[in-house]
Amino acid sequence: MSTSRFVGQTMVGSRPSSAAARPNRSAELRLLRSELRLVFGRRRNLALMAVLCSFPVLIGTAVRVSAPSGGDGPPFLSQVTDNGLFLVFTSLTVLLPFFLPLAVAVASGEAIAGEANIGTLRNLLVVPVSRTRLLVVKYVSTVVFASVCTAAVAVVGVVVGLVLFPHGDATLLSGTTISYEAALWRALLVALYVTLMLAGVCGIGLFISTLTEVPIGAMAATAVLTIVSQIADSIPQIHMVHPYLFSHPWFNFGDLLRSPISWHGLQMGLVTQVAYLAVFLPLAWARLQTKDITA
Amino acid sequence: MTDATTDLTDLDSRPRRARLAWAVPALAVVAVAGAVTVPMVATASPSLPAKSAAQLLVDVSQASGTPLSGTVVETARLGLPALPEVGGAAISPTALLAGSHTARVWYDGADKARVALVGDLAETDLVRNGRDVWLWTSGKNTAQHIVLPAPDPKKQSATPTPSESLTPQAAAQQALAAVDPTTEVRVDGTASLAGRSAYELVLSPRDTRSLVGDVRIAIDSETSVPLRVQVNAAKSSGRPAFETAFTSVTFAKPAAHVFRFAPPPGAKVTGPGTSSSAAPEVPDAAGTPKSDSRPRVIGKGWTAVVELPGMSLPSSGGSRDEGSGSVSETLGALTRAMTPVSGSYGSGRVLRTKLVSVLLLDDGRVFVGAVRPEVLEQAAGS
Repeated sequence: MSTSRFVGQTMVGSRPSSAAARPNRSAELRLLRSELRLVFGRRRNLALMAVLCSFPVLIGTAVRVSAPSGGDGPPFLSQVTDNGLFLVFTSLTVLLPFFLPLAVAVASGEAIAGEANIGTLRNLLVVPVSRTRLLVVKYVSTVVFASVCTAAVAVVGVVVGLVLFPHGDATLLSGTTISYEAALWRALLVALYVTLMLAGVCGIGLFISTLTEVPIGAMAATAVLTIVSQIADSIPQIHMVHPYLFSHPWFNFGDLLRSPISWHGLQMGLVTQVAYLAVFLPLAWARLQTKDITA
Repeated sequence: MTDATTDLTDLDSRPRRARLAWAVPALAVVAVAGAVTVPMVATASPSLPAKSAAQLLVDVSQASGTPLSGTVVETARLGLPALPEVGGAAISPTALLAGSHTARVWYDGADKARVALVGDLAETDLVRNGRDVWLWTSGKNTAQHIVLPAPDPKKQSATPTPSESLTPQAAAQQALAAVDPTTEVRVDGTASLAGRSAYELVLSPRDTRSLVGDVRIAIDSETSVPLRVQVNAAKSSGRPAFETAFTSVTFAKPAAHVFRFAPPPGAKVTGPGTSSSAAPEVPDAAGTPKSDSRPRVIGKGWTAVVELPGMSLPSSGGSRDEGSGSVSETLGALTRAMTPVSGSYGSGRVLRTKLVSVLLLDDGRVFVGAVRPEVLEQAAGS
């Protein structure tokens, strides 16, 4: 793993004088590319994605073998037999509380702490890329990973749904029916919204990652935080803090499945994530700026 | 922009730099905290031309029929135990007794209306379009169809008569005079909510035995549509015991398709055209035996007590049939929150909330009122 990073390093750092003179755009892009290659080359990330993608297959097969009765099981499950597209919504509903944030926590916890742990952070800083830009590249790559994870679940859900179930008009939560194409657009919007919700987790994970040189610690802490936030959200006695929890608006993606779409909840979701990022990204930046990079 | 190399060489300036760097997230925290708290503080009451209670009543009576769409949040702080809420699958009416709930409403004249009770990944819709009324429950995938009886032309011509003989002004005055012995009606300042300014009409009972402190109705200054109703308990804890208010509202005619409802394919449809066995689910769901004994009202005004005969509580929250699971669970939770009482009327149990008291006698009679439990016991003894 460290070798591939090292190859990336030498590539970027091979022409230090000319790169430093020019604006750092190209160096940055190359850093982002090498970073993405790293993130998507890591076996644990690929394994996580495989696990995520197995869920739509698993749920689809289970529903195909024995159709659920009435309103049992996770939301949308009983609708899967009528329209395979609902496999996407069921899968995302099942994965959003734990597995998707876990995948994001692993990727973002690794970001800085992983480099510090194997001693490549120091090498990275020799590259003519400032710590600020390094942080931006790290953040962007984890968000890309989050979006690919979500998109993969959605695409596998659509495909499995098409293979195993009929694909006709879809019934929204409001009881209105829309065409399959319109429903596909809604599924795309849902995936986009879920990605944006995970972008908040990316920011928190990145900050935690700057605090330690033990990547597994950063990953665990981030994953634990997402669970703590959800547990706090389920305790009615502290309902006054609920709107401020970053996990509170996650399931507002259901508002995209109403007719007409209810934008307020979705807006609140985006505002919440932006507020969290506005705090945690500067925190990560300040921590990285002042950090003594010894290893 | 700090460069990696200068970072490592400028060792002298590091402490100051460090402090400067941490100032950035500190500022960000302050900015976010400010953005969160400012909208909460900025609710100064707007200044509006003075209006009398009678004027407000006239305006409200003339405003009915104003098309609107918006979001309503209902909050009940009755002091009930947290009721079991059956996820998003079934948003039952009993769930509205505790906690906060959101509904989207559309209204276009008297015969077109839609209320969508919004839950997490679920929705319950009540749609009225002309004589057709649909109740759609997404969690159960059921649609209930009710066809209202055709409007009676005689009745319609009969209703306007009282207002023909009276100007709205006089009618309002008369109504105010009629309630005056029991209720104090006044206009109490203004409020701003849902981005609009409103008058506050306050009704307070004169009888101190009532649990209701006052009822505050915020009436939009432009359209005279009531935007908020708050019921404060007599022993007010500062926040209303019951509140329902628009959080956003627009007074434009909603699109026609909002009121159009056709049951989706695959949904269980009950209604006039189908077998009637499953249709009336609500009335006997709570285990109420079908007896023709009617509720009796004892007393009047704010301290009126309603006697419901022949109710029996489920023994311990066990659901009798699948459909009534949530209802009997709720009743079970309520039963556990009651205190036993006894007197000349027999013995039973009392449930006291901030706004409503309920007395359940062992002989099956139930007394309900927005009064202190003593008044219920008196009514039971009489």
